[in-house]
Amino acid sequence: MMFMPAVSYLPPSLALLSSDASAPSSLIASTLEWIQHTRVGTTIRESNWAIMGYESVHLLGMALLGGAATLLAIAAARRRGLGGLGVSVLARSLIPLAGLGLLIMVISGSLMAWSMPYRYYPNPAFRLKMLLLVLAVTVSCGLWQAVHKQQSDTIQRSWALLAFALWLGVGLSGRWIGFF
Amino acid sequence: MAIFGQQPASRIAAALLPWTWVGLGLMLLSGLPLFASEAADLYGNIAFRIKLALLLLAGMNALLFHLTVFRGVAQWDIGATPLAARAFAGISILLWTGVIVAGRLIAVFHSH
Repeated sequence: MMFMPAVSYLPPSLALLSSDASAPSSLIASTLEWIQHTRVGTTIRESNWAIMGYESVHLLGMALLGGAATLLAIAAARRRGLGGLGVSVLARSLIPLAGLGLLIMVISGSLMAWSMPYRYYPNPAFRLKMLLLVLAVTVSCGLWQAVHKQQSDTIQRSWALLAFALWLGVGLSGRWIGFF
Repeated sequence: MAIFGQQPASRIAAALLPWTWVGLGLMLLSGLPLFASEAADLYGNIAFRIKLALLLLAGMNALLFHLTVFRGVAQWDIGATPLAARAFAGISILLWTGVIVAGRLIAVFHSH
């Protein structure tokens, strides 16, 4: 936390210069321009506290989602599960909790990205994060299906471990956004 | 409360609590070097102080819970959770939420 670099609040003109070499097409550019000038985007960007507040909320959502995914991974990795509780038992309670965390993170994250489209759209870490996010959600739905169709323990554990690896990737690439 | 297929509270505690210690250990192991790298700056940081105070309160809350309500867990292991236990849980959630928010605020008060 302490090392989290201050988010750079570049004015739009400078932010454009900092984007990568692949200049956005005119349609994308005009979309980014529109997002940037929406009232929501402008209000968040110009507030002293909004980004910090949304980042805090984002971290709280992460505690729910990350905690649930981690507990499922621990249960999946061990033969005895988590103190005798297996993935199938834990998943029924933990996946809804993870879903709540995801909802909180998607709302807070969307608002932050919406306020600085020029900062996020060209950012390679952000793009990687979005790709991994889609994969992580897909695999988590696969785990949910496997649990409810009562597929074999091995299948459920594999889904849980793969989901954890992907969520870890989402978290790491998200942390990486700040370094670009 | 129907969680983990109506398992007794003591069983859920036994399954999860060791891992909360692992989590706390990881955060201390990574947090202490971060603190050491800028101890002088952080010492005076109001958000950092609030974070440490909240951590202390969260620890005391957990300790009190285990010394009081949880001692008699056998009586409410399966049935309704007593109000006191729910109060400890609610306070715990609030304190840990505060730890996260105060931790994020450290950067705001950071002088560089």
